[in-house]
Amino acid sequence: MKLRAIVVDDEPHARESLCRLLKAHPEIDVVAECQNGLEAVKAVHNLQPEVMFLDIHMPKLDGFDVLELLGASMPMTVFVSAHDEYALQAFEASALDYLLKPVSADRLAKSTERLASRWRESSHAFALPDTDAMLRKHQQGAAPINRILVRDKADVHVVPTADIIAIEAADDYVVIHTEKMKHIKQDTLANLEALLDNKQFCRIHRSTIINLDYLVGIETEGRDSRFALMKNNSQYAVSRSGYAKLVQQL
Amino acid sequence: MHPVFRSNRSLQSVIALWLVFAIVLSLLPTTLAGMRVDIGLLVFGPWFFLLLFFCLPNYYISEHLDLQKTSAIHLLSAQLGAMAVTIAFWFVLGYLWAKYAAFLFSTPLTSIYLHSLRINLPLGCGIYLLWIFIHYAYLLALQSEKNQSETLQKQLLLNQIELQIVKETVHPHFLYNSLNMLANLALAAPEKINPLCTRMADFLRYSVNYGNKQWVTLEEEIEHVRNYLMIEQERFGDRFELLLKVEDSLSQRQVIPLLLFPLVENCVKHGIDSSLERGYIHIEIKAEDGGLSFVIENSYDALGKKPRSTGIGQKALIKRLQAIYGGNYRFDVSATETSYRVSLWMSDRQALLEKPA
Repeated sequence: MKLRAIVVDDEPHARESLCRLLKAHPEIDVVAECQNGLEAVKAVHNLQPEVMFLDIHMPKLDGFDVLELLGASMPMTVFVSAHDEYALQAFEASALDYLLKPVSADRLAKSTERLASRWRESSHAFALPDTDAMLRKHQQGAAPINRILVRDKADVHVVPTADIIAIEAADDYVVIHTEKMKHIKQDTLANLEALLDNKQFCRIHRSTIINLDYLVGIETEGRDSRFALMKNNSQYAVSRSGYAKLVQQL
Repeated sequence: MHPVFRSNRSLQSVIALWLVFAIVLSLLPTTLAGMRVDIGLLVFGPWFFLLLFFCLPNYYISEHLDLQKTSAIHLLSAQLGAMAVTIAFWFVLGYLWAKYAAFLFSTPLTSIYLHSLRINLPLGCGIYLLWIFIHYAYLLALQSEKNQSETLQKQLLLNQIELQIVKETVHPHFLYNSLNMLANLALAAPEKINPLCTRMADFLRYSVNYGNKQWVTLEEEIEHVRNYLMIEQERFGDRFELLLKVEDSLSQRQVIPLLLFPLVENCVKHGIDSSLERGYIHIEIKAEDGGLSFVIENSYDALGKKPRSTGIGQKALIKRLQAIYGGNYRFDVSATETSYRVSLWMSDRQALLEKPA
């Protein structure tokens, strides 16, 4: 039995040395090296590896962003970091192991053993990360987010919050409307509402958040039936409580 | 409180000294009036001794009338007025005492007392003036000591900031990252270890040793950040372009140590490290406006992953500049969606710390 693995790290020497160490473990077959989070998402989607060795501190998308984007398609993940401060967060994100750099051959052997036995035990069934809780924790007390990460199969879009006109809920997904295109993301409105800047965004309806910067006017049709008119000529229903919030925020 | 009263010892020694002084002083009118020494001492001795306690309160007046802040006329009139009132009161007291002594010894002491006023008046005024001088001398010494301790404190603060910067520089993260890179290179490219270790050693030596120096040459500073950037370049695999423009004539100019490092470190952490695309760091140093001008610009990705940063490095640098240059420096930051630029200018002269010639 062979496990196919990808190695994700932004330092070329780190990738190379980990690959060399992994050569001592024939049960692990490195099928791709990725130098950033975008490449990692792409490789997981295209190659469907069983194992991912994932660095945490990387440009643009860090290791946690990668897991958030992968969601249910996350392979068995071993975090590899030079710093121990993320260990707890890593296990919350359902990481199977947490290796400290520089990685020793002995410690890596333990990790590969763990991977193999986990694979034998339960095939690929393992706890999925609670990405919502992860994200909230990540953001707690922090400044509002200025971007939303969206995955479309193998591609990752980094959507600046300033470009978002509105976000609508649809079943388990949200639809993010920008001037140029629509993005679909597996997330909840409540979660996004908590992360977005509440001075710029307003939840005007149970299933709609709008960007106030794109709001042109509010149209009233009869009693308690209102619509928010946006710059791109789209319009969204405003609920009674949403209207109260809107008035308060404006 | 008057400094004399602050300790028992000083009070005792001043009283003992004054006792001797009072005896010597009272001998003067005694001999001039041709009195018997014992009667003279009895009449004038306690009186002159009492003058001490008339003079000491002048301390509070002197403390109130600051030499530097009070106009000469105001100071002179107030002090002379205080002297006139005090001496007059002292004389009334002396007259009463002489009258009492005259009654005690049935000798015409009051007329002798009044007669000796010619000598005692300038004597009393002189002693009072002497105390004014003593008080001001004491206050001035106190002031200069205070100034000195303030300067020392400022220097101490500066040293603390500098120590903090060294700690930041030789931060465990830097050491971890470096060790980690060496461990990786040992497997991946052993031939690179030796030159890299040399650079790291130079970098650390400079960071740690600079504390002994107040000034370094611009050349040394540039070499230091170049070492740092080369180490980062090796780590990240040529992720940025470095453009360094320095006029040759400036290489021996004196600057404060670790001036550039916190700024360049910020370029890497916030600019290069958070962006996927290959970035740039441009550094331009030139003589301008009677000083040195630095422009440090880096590429920036507004949507990149931001490091958790406390911004201590830059804040500490500004504190140091403030402490060393006072108002004679400028520090400006301008940012766009894709770039971040720090402009720094320091005057050649008027640094608060002396530069070597």
